[in-house]
Amino acid sequence: MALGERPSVNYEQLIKTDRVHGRLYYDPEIFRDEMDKIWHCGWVYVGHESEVPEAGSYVTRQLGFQPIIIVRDQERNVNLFLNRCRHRGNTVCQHEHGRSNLLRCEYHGWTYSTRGELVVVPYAEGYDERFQKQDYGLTAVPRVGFYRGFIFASLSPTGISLDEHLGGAKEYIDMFVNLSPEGEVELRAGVQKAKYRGNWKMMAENSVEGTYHAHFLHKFHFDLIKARAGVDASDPKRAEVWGHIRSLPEGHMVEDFRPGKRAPGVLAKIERFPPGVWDRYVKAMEKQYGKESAHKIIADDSQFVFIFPNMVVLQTHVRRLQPVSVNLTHLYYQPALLKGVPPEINTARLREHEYGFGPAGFLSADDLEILERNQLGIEARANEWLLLARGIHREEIDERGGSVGHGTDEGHLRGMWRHYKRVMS
Amino acid sequence: MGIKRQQIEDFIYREARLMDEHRYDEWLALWTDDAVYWVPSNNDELDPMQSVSIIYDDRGRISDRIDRLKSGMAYAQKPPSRMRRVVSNLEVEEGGNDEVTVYSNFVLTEIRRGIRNIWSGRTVHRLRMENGDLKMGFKKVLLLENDTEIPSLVFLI
Repeated sequence: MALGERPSVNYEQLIKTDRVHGRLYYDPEIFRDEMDKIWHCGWVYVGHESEVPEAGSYVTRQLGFQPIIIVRDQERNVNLFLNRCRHRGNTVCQHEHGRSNLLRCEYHGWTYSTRGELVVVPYAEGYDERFQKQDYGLTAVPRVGFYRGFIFASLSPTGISLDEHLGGAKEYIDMFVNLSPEGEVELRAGVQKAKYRGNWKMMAENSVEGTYHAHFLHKFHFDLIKARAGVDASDPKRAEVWGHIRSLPEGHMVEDFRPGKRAPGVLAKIERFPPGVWDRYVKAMEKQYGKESAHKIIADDSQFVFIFPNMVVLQTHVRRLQPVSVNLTHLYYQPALLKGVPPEINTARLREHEYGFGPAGFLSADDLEILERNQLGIEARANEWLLLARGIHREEIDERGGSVGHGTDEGHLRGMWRHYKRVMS
Repeated sequence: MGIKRQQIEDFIYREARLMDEHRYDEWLALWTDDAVYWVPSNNDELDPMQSVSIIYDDRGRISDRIDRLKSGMAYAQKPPSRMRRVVSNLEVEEGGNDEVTVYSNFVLTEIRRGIRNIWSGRTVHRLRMENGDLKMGFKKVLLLENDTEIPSLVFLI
């Protein structure tokens, strides 16, 4: 094999309708292939407009393995650039977030505007006439898309539009955002950072699968809900309690609680709002959406959503997955504040969030543990298939092109892997 | 001051040992009813009413945390971490109402499943006498790691 050439992986052999092979989680070659084909090619969630509120506000992120800057310019447009000086390749922005009207590389002082133009080159007379500043602006991320404030990016100049990529997932983003009477969420309440020693796809698979694993892994939390809120959601045999599990085209997954009797917002009822707060919220919602719609939005609450390959929209927060290596993943849990609500509602959302999520949250901590055990388990190299057959006999094809099944089924995972195989092959 | 430095030191060191040794009920008994247990995220000084924390517990939630650890269903502590922490650099500030604020630094070695994690930071305790016993009404743990990606934090910090 020539230098730099890679053996091609036969994904057809590793991904079957009802099972996937363990190698997909531990082979560094496959991980590198994923970085190229998924993370450095497809749409990836990178941030939210509220994280760069003012002209000059910026955040630095990774798009796959590539460092990027998300910056708001003086015309209030949000621009995405590779965080790489055009001179010698140094990173231009060092902080995770900051504000500056000029972006200056500290190595040799090359300075860029928030629109990416190269505006200052020290000792410019050292270059001849072939050097033109306009040729050396920051490199824009080839494609950027926005939906309800969320920012997605792709390093590929061609491919399907963000609209096509999100498809049916937009409806679920809408539900989450519409809980604000102004129709906006803000990711300005900080971030919990966590990591686990496991492959990134394990978190993808774990994130919206609460209905099946919750009764075992999260039993303590369910018992707490029962004790606090008087809602017993602990019997998986009572099918009427459960919602649907959905796969959507493009690898997205949804746990849709609406068909069931249990609303995910039940956790919120653990919190006791001061008198009048909830009424003020409902009134603001009614004013914005009309009485009937407002009550429906509040009753539906939000569903649990995974947007391929790295975004989880769940109850209180938006979660971003960042692969580090084949068996190490970083996680960023950012609570979503609802714009235009009494401040007590957002504070309660923060407390509700901390209860369940982040490195010390009652739900997340167990999830992180179980994913690490999973990575250890698949080191056993016999009977290497991971079974995804639950509900294969009872799933239905959704009119939106995905599948819909019982809340404890694995049709959503089969859907994600169908998409994965298509992208990787 | 009604509270002697020796009592304060004894309290702080004992609290550290109870956490190291997973002595959950004894640790829980150190708290007042109006307790606040706070581990900020990102930044030591963010307003917890407007920003997320790693932990922001009232007394009820501290109890839930302990119940969970005792339930056998806190899987991130199955098996439990082995821990020892060193607490030092104690500074005491007197407040009103027989309350003292205690600042200290800690370094904690945690070993679990063959992996060693070093945790470190600064702790602010507010202590007061209640029925003859020193109790903590407020504890804020300023983790040095609070703005980096950390593994699960389920043991007592």
